[in-house]
Amino acid sequence: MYIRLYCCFLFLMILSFGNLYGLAYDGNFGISTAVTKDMKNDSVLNPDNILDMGYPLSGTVAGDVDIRLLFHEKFTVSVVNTMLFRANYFEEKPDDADELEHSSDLRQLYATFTIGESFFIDAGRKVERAGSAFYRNPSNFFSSSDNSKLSRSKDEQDSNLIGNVLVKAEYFLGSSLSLDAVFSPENEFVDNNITQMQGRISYQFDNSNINLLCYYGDVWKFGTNLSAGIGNSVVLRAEFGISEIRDRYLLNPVMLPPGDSDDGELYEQRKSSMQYPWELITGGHYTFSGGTDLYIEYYYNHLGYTQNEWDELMDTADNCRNVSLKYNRYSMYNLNGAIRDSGGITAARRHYLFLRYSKDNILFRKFNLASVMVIGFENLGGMFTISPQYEISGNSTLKFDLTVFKGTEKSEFEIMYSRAFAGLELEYLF
Amino acid sequence: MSLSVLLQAQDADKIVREADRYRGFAGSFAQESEAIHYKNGEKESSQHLKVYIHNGEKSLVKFLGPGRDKGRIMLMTGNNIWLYIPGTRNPIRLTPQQQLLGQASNGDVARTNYSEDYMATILGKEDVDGLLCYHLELTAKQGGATYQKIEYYVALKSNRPVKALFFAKSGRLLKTGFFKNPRTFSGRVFMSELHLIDDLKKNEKTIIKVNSITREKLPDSHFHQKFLPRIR
Repeated sequence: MYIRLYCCFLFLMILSFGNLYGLAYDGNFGISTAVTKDMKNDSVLNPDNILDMGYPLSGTVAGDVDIRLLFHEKFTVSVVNTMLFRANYFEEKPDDADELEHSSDLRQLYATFTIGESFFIDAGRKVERAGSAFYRNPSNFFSSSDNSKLSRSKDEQDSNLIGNVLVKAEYFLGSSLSLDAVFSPENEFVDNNITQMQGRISYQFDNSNINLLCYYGDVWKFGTNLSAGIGNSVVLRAEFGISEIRDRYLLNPVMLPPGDSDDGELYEQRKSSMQYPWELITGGHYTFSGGTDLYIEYYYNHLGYTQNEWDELMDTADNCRNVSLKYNRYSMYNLNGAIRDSGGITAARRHYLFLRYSKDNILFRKFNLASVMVIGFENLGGMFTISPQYEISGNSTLKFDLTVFKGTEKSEFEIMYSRAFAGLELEYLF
Repeated sequence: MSLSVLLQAQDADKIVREADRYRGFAGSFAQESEAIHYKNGEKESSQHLKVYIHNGEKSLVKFLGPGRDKGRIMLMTGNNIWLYIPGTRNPIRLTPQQQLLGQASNGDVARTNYSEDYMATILGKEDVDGLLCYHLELTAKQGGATYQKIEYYVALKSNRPVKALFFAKSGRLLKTGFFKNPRTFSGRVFMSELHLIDDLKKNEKTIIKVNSITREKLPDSHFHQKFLPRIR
């Protein structure tokens, strides 16, 4: 962590002396403060709930740096860093909980070499992404690590992803076709757990676009994503990913030996593999004449979402710009880990419907509203978030957020989450 | 189509092409502008933009400020609209109707070429604020045009645009625009302000104010959606 802090500091120094050395830079700086409140204590409602984090009230200060330094017309360096400090107030402090927490993540630091007008080479730590769907991207094969245990909201941002150390070559043939290839070697020192390679073709038609991806890492994967505009009000999106093979965990009932003191059934975790699991997402976006936007996406995962996939799925519901959901992610992360370790229930995690509603200037000018709903179809349950915002000025925004999880008795939303959060955030962007 | 109707259509198209000359160069150019929103006569907010028009058909809008919008980039190619927000995973496709600029439509800022997007017919001649004008009807050539129909008033003597009524597909009047304040940029006269008044909220107004127009051309590759994260 300290190395990351030093790197960040070094770049800020370069930035400070930019004028002296004729260095050009541009970018964004943001700072936000947030107060979040756990409105429902799980340990009261559900004494067995493993999610009793005991954080009834938290205060957070977070800062983001996202800059690009132009050393030469053909050579730039990009750096993205997030720092976060949180203070927790406990009514009943759990043994393993901290009252003060902080983190600093150098998420991206890479150089870009430009050859001609259309050929680019990126080298360094970079988040590599793909996809057209709004919430989750099954054709996004390149795994970027997510080390951040602390997180905060920022509009539609992958604020937790830590890039891979990689080399990427990208070529644009006019304004319609682009080709890119990425190589990330296995290296423990830079936290690259496996060697990953990917090739992509991207074509832009008059009213639509398509991407084709081929990936090799732990296994072969293929994917495609496309989107199309229809008239002035409709956008359609579809995305598909298929993997050569994937492991999953099942619970196997085990016969107890005679005389065993355990009363009831014993389950044992069994690893199994599925050939060619696939995931499909279809959906769209409609803009009403009054400026209201409605997004609907249906998700089907043949195998059932794994811990990391589910975590990412929930994470990207942050597009609602909420405060507390990001905070809540940590709980989900632990929860899903616990579920996976105890045998996994991923096979049941297949059908989901995501809805997002947003409208600017609702009721009065500068007052915006966004709301996200996630519905699970197997054991009906869901998450609902509502996030009104007020634009104080061109740079600052006051945000309120309320997130509620509710479901039927056997639903994961009820068993695992069954809670509500509220948060208030003040964001300032320079 | 009879000869007289054909000739009239040609005349109408010619008038619109001439009027387009007051809104931007033909081909590729860049303009720096401000979209300022007023309510009850008081300035509420503003956005600072740089717009690159490419071969008269594609456009790239860089949001230069305020802080909330800084670094955002919008790409318009036909019916495709893409928005890149710094720090996000990918550029996202928007509906053309999605509003990024207050009362101004994306096309109000990013499109300056009505002759490319609309078919014109002359409805007659009318007086607008003491100025005798052609009264034209512009109908969208394709679904991706910003408006389904525009009633366009162009000064008879100079062919400069004066006023426009913008209509939705349903036929409802959306807003009224006034082209004002002729200024010289790069040796030519352009209408430097477009005042847009919403038909439903008449106490609100958006002014798109052009501060500079220069002949600049970006490479073709900049108009591919995957290129957007590379632009600063």
